[in-house]
Amino acid sequence: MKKIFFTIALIATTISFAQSLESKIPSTAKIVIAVDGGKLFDLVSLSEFENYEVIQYLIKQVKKQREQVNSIADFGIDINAKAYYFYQPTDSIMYHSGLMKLTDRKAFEKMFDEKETSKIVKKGNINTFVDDEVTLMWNDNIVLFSNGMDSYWYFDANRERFEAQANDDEDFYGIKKRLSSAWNANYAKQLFNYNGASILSNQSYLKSKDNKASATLWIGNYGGMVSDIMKSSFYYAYAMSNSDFMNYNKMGFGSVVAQLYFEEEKARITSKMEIDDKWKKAFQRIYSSKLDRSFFKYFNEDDALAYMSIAMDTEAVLDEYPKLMPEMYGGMLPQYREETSVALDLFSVIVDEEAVGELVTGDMLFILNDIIEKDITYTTYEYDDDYNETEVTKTKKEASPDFTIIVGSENEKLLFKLIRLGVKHEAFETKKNYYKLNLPSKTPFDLFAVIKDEKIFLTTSEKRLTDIVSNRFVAKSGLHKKLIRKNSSVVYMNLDNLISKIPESELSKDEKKFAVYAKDNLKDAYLTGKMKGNVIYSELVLETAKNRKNSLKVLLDFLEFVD
Amino acid sequence: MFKKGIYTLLFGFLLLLTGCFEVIEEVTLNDDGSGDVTLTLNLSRSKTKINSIMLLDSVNNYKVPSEAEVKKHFAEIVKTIENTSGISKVSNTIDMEEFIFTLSCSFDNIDALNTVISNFSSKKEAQRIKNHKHFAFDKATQTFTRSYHYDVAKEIRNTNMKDRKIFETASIRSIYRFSKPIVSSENKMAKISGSKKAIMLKVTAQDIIKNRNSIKNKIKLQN
Repeated sequence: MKKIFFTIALIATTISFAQSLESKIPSTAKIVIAVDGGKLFDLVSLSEFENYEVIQYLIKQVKKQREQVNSIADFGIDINAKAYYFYQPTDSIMYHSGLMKLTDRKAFEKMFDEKETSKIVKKGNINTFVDDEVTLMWNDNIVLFSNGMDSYWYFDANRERFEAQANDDEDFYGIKKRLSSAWNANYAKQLFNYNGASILSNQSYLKSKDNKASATLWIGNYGGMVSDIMKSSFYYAYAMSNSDFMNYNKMGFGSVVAQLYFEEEKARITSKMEIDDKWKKAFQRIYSSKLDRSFFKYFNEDDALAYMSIAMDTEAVLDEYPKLMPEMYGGMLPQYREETSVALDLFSVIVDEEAVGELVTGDMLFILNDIIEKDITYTTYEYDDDYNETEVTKTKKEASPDFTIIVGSENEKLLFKLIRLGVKHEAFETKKNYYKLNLPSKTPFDLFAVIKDEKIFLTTSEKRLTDIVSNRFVAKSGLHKKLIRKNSSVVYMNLDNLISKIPESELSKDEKKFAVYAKDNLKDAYLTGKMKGNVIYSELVLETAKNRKNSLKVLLDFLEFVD
Repeated sequence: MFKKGIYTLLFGFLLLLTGCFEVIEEVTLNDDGSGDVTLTLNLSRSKTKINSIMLLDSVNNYKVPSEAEVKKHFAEIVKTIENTSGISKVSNTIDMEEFIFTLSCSFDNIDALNTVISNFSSKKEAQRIKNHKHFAFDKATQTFTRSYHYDVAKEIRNTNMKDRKIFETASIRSIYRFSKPIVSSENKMAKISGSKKAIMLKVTAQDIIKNRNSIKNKIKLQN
């Protein structure tokens, strides 16, 4: 039954209702995930969805045990409603719970086998099924499931007290199992009849809600959640130090919200992370910069299969990190708070933040311009009629990256000094008015460098470098300039072009299949990051082909393809 | 850190491309059951990738060995083989430009080859090799048998996806030479030479993974 229920939950959550469900989630829940089934089935109809091989496989697996099941509708769950998962830990037990709406109570009850059905307790209109780990409760409209995971540390620390509660010759494991099952059943009962303060009274949660999102993850306090996980994972160390150990609350992170959207021509995942007021300034100083406009003089978006831009204030990083570190590591390892602090003070004394900030400003642009095919020779064997072998040299095409790296610097004087030193030690070779790097002999590409316009240029193409040196470089940036200037970091990939550049001979059969589908259906993909106020925003976007119905369909088709 | 990031990005990209290597097993068997064996590992087709890997500290969580470590490891293998009774004239070649490695030796009797393999196996495996011989030659029936007891397909399926990728385009070739003509061979993919005194079998790693073929064979010689 457990397996079947999880399969249903899996299907229902991959696909989710009204406030009445949310009102059963306590205001103290630490994590809430909401999946909007209606939104998803608007994009892909139920019959289309059920036609996917993976869904058919799941239904078939359930059908093996429950003959009556031919469709997701036969589970009795309302797949067009919102479904919720939420997490609520206590000292002794961690509750993972889910809420879904029912359309057909009878169909749902048929999912229990005979033995399980005999364990169902009926009280009025409410049925309850209690297992070792899972409790299920339902009426005509909703079903609640709860899974309680006991805290090893808590039980171990209170072993004596619990052992005193043993029934007959029950061992410690048995006691734990019995108690956590009873606690879980009791928890479920409270939730099912809950009418206390719900998550809807939590402002942070309310703010996170977006009707356009297909799914939303909300974590009330990220630092606190990490601390909880750390505590339960490192219970001994925690018990021993019994103090601030692994206290990520001090790490300065507040709520985290992540949302998934399926739109006509793109799928998006957005995330927002709140930063403590205490740290807001430091983070803002580090992430407040934008890539200097002069970089766009050396950027041609038509000549980029992929790029990565980073704008960070190096001086602020070096200045602020030593202040942040004792807080971070002090919180994680309080016994080393003094040591961390001394080490970082020393760092600040030795490093001249301003000077380093001038040498490397923190502006960086990496561009993958092309993937070129190179002829590579290799040794293999040929055989005569009697299978005597002869060594032969053959050639094959291999992909080699053609890229450019541009790093901002305001201290050209020092850079030139470094280069002269490099030439002296034969790390560089002087060309006309630029340099060639002496890379390890087997590096599959050459690298050329120049310092110009307060920037260090490194590229695999000698032609591109000479163009930069002689001001012949043709720049072009419209859309991407906007994207880069709006964010402090961007990773961008032109997927269809990138994939078509990889020589077929380098791909395995499965990869070729993937490449063909990706080329026709996927466009650009990019990941952006920025800070505004006290929130760090990031967004991952996957653009899909214009001729397709919507991005969810493209992705589901894609899964089918890979399978 | 910045430099490392760029390196990781670039070489990570190179590593995405699949690997390719071939293994060649050659055995020349004399009438009296003695003979010579050469094992060749040719990674030449993947040399660009290996050169890139050699610039890294580790790949897929495996430490990348230095040239010196590769040589040291080979020297140890040679030493172990040399100490096997019935084995002589052990030699090896290491070509770090093309990444071709060979190991060869002479054997007094074919069973010595099973002992060599056992020397590189656990005690439990060694016992299984003793019971289920990888190489055998029955003088009475003039039958040469190449076998192994491992379920290679299962072993490969047990490796993680990343590691499995390296087997995608790999192949293994066996060439056996005899002084008498070959009458029959059980493995249908094996090809008998014009002179009938040699037999070659090429199997791709994919064939082995999907249980379509293996290098197992039973070869009958003229009596």
